[in-house]
Amino acid sequence: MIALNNVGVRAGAFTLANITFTIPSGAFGVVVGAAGSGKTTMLEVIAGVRTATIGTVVLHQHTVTQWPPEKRGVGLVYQRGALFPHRTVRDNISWSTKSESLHSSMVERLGIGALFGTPIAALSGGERQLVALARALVRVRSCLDRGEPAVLLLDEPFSALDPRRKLATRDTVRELHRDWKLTTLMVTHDSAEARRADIAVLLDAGRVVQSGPPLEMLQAPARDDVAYFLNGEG
Amino acid sequence: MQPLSGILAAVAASCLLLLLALPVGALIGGSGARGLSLLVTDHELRSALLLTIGTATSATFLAAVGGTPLAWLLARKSFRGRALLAALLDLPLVLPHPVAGIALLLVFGRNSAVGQVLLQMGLRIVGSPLGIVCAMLFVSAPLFVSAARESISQVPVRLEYAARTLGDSPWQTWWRVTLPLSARGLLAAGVITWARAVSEFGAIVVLAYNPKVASVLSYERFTSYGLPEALPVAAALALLSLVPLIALRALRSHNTPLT
Repeated sequence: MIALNNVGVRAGAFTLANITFTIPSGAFGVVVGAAGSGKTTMLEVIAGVRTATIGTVVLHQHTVTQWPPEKRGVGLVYQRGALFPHRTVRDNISWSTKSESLHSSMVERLGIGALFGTPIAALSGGERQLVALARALVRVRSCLDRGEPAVLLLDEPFSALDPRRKLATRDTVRELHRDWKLTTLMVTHDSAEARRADIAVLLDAGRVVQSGPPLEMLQAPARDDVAYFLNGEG
Repeated sequence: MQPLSGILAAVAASCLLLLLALPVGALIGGSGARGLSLLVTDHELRSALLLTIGTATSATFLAAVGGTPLAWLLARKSFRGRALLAALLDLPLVLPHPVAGIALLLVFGRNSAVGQVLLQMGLRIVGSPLGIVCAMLFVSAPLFVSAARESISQVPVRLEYAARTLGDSPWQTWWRVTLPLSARGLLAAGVITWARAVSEFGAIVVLAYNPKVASVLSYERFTSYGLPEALPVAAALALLSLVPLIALRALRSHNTPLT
């Protein structure tokens, strides 16, 4: 479960305020909203790399507001990957564990074995996203293998992939989410993807406009732009 | 009009370049060989150069040990008094160096409280290699902090965030991500600091005239024996100063892309 209760944080000139919503255990949640609405900052608060100045963050029944990121059992994928440029693709993927089998299975599952010889600087945007996704999934799986709960946080993880690869990777993430019984929260601008979620959260200017099952949001929208983000209608 | 302004710019740039290069070129070209040969026969010059290298290296080491955490703090953390701390660190850069020496003398002199406590501990600052290190550290450490801060700032903070979510503690993140990615910049900061320390004269001459470092020896020979005796010492010091410059160029020629 991911639950934010009245969370607020200041990030430079930007403020995230009164953020309240719950993603139940095992649910797939999405965050939608215009650019600059605070989606990435919110994921960073959940991951613990930014500390909420007010309110509480709950992950799997534990109030983790003051916990450091490394104790939270979180796998985070940034839109541009945030890969370590001084290390190899293999090093990046196995950053959190030495388990060779886990590393290999994830590489095979995402079909990125061919990237091993490529320097990080030479990877395309889509390839970076795939490596970052593999790295976060390895982290999440290793937490689960130790009996610790884990959540997966994705910040537009498929935005740089070609359409075919995007569908395949999205299906893989969905399968792993289901098989591993993960709680997942994904930032997306894809309205079709947003409608498939169990819970959607619409952010605007650092505040939650509405949250809930996408269909219910569409039936009783809090604002006109709910349909724009969930249905792609202008 | 455009060709004329181009010509004027070229003339101005050439004049400046000549002003910078001619004296050093004349010094090394005219007396470099004699300066190097004196290293074999002139015991006082050899001792002065070795003392300069030793004290400058010690000052650089201390600047790195104390300056790296300060640089990280200024690059990564927002806190009350941050601007004041940054201004305090820049203060030695704007002080005339003899004034810096006088200020150090005021704190570490034999009649000061700190100086007396240190003397009781067996540490003499005035007129000792320790004093030379203090003077070099005072004038060059701000350069280290400033360059190191810039280098750490250039490491994207999201790489550190990613490492933390992957299970690294703050220390592990420093050793595995921030340090390797800023190492070249930190090394360059060290080279600049070392070069600045080697060239220091004003603060040293007030705080620790003896034992003599190369810059003080050069000055002493100039005032006591005239230009011919000062030239080889000055040329040897100029040659020594070229070493960090070459190292700096080599460091800057090869960088790891950070994104």
